[in-house]
This record gives sequence, structure tokens and C-alpha cells, in this order.
Amino acid sequence: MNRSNYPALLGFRTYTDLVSEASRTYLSFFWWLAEPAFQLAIYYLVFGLLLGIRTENFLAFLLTGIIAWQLFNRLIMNASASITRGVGIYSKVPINKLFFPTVALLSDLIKHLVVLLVLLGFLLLTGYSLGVALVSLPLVVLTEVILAAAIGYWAALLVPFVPDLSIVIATILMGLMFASGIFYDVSNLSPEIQSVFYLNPMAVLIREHRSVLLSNQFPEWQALGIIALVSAVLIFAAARFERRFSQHYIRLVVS
Amino acid sequence: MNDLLLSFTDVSVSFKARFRFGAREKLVLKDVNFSVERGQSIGVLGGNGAGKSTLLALAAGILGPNSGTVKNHNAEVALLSLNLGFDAILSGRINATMSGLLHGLKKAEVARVLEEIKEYSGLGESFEQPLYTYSAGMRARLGFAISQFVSPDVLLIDEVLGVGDQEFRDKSSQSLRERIRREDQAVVLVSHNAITLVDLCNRFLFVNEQTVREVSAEELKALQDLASVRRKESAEAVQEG
Repeated sequence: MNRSNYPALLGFRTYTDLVSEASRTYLSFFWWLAEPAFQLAIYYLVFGLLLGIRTENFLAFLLTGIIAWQLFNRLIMNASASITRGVGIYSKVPINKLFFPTVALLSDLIKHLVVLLVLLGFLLLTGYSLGVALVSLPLVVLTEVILAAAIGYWAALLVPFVPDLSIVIATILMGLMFASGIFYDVSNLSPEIQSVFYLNPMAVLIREHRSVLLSNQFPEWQALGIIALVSAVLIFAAARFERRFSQHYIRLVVS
Repeated sequence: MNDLLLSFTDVSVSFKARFRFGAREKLVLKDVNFSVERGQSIGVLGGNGAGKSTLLALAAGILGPNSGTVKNHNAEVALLSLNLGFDAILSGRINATMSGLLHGLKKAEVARVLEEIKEYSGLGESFEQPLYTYSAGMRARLGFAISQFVSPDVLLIDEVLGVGDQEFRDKSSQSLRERIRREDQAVVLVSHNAITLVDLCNRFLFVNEQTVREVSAEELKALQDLASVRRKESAEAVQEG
């Protein structure tokens, strides 16, 4: 595949992915918003009303956490299956295998931006005064995307070799969801526990989402920088792995 | 313009017989040596499972050999594929664009030939309809129409000489004949049928028992029987299995 074709191909494939997905359901684009809304309703019911978890402005607190988590969760789940699903293409064309997770990332990111806009509208309507810290939101989101890309690329590259990994990944994500402070405020935990807790980069990113959106505070740049840097190294390594094993993937489907 | 496009040197390929750790490797091709030059049309004959498609995958750069080298001398290579990247829920127009891009056409080139693709396919207004409304023949016509505008240095064709109804079959095989005879590119055509290959090509390879050897047109016709016997055997093996 000619390198100069990739930008056009990425753009067009992302577009067709979104259109194709929307065409498969009656409510099409409405689901982008309805899905997080239903989730919010469930979590609010369980954690807010039944278990009585009460932080200040629980609804906005919960919604911000869920939306930040959903991006991460989707990016990784969709990326991890993407090369396996791309067999119809990579068995006919010598294409960079990272093309497939990249398309998955781009289309999920576009959906997420729509959801974020609605979240901003919700916060404004419920009396939050979004301040100057809002300009740093794109960097927080970008850091999360880079993190998810690093994990998603590796998942995508390895799942065709070891399909069992997709189950492992889904399980880990489920565990991580409960360990990222979506339903509760990590700052209420003891300092020792907190220091362990924030080794989880998603706990950090959810915290930063909240400080930007709910408290109008700029994020902790150092924490974001470390996450972005480690992720960038992982992405670079994934690209090297792809180059080394690109012509091997076809063997996994022939046998 | 460089005339040497692809060269195979001592290429061997084996596959794992089953998807398990430590599974035994099955040898598919052994010590293959040949090159592809501009203006050549190479016919490849062989029975089922002889390794013809593996040969094309190597040439396309989709598959890497276990040993030896497949060198591409800066040639654009494309494996013709009639439903590349198709998504049934999207329109013929969108699918044609996607398939064209994947076949290596630039975005501007695709935009330029879209109307010609519509015209050639004879799909008319169905071109704007989703693919799930198409018959198998209509899909094949769309796929073939796209492939008409793919023009790499080396064109690899795996038995798609004619598709669709009789009228389109004649038109498509006529188009392919013209392309195969073009001097400014090279074609590698794989088939079960020696007569077709002799009719269309100017060089011949016979794939059998892991080896690839160059043969004359006369030899190729004589070998047709061997290829079909092997095909019958493998068909029986499938039935028994």
C-alpha cells in the first residue's frame, strides 16, 4: 500500500464506519447519546439511590466520570477486535495493520466529541460556570486518547495471535472501571490507598476531567505528561512490532 | 523505466497445520526462483492446494516467506479482488470509492473515474442503493468495474476471468484480455485451465508438489491433465474427510 494513500483512506474509512454503524439501527445517531444516558440512569439508581453514595452534585460528578470512562472503554474494546475484523482487507492488500485500530479510534473519538458537547450543555444548564480551565479539556481528552491508543494498538496486534486475550481484556476493563473512581470520590480514601489508586492512569484522567469541568481548575500537567510519554513509547513499540510481523498475520487466518 | 518488477530468490513457505502452539509445519512452496518483468503475462497452472494463491500473496507482499526473499523493485502491485472492503449496508458509490482507495487509487483518481465505474458496471440507479439490495451478479459487476480502473505495474489475478450474466461475462473477459496484453505492465494470472492460460499469456509456470517451474505452452497443455487429476483427488479427499 502506497503511504500517501493512508490519510485519504483513514478519513474515508472512518466516515463509512460511522455511516455504516448508524445505518444498522432504527435510531441511528441517537444511540450515541442514548447509550451513555441509559448508563447514567442505571448507575445513578444503583449507586446514588440504592447505595446512597453522596458526593456533592452526584449527578454531574457521576456523568463526568462515566463519559470519561466510556471513551477509554470503547476505544480499547473496538480497537482490540479491529485487526481480526479487517481480515477481508488485509488478506488482499498489503496494508499497515495499525490502520484498523486507528479507524476504530477515530470513529469513537468523533462520537465522543458529540457526547462531550452535550455534557457541556448539561453542566451549563445545571448551574456550573465553565471557566477558563475549559481550554485545557482538549489536552485531557487527547492524553486519554493517546493512552487508549497505546493499549488499543497492542491489544489489536496481539489478539489475532492469542484470541483468548480479548476475554482477558474485557475482564480487566471491568475491574478497572470499579477502580477508577467513577462512582465515588477517591479523595475521600486514606492517603496511602490514594497513592496506590492513582497508579491507575484512568483514575488520574477521570480526576482531571472533573477538576477541569466541575471545579474550573487546570489539570496537573506533570501527571498528564507522564501518561502521554509512556503511551507514546508504547505506540512507537507497537509500530515496530507491526513492521516486524506485518506479513505474518495472513498465516493466522490461512491455517 | 525499470523493467524488472519482482524477483523471487529461493523462496520457501510453510504453514502451521493447526492453530496450536508447537504444531507441525506443512511445506507449501520450496525454493521458488523466478522474476516478473514489464510486458510479461505469466500464466500459473496448478491443482487445488498446490500453492498458487500463496504465490500471489507473496507477490502482493501480503505474506512473507519463511526463507528466501521476494524483492519488489519499486513496483506497484495489486491483487484483483472483486469485493475488497465492501460493506453491504453502504451504497455502490461509497463501496466503489472504498474499494478503489484500497486498490491503491488516489482519492482524486477515484473521484474522476466514479462515473465511468457506474457506466461500465451497467448498474444505473442501483449504484446509489445499498449493496444488500444487489444480486450476486450485480455485486460482481460492481467489483469488476472498479478493477477496470486499477492499473498497477504488476496485476495479480486469481481466476476472475468473467463474471455476471452472459453479456457482462463477454464484456469483462474481453476487457481482461486487452489488459493482459498491455506492454506497459505485467500480469500474473492463476488458473485451473491451461487452454485459457495459453490463449492469454506469454510465459507459463507450473506449480506442483511444492515446486514452481517454468514450462512451455505445449508442456502446459500436457500438464493440464495432471492438474485436473490432482484436483479430483483433493475433491475426493474433501468428501471423505
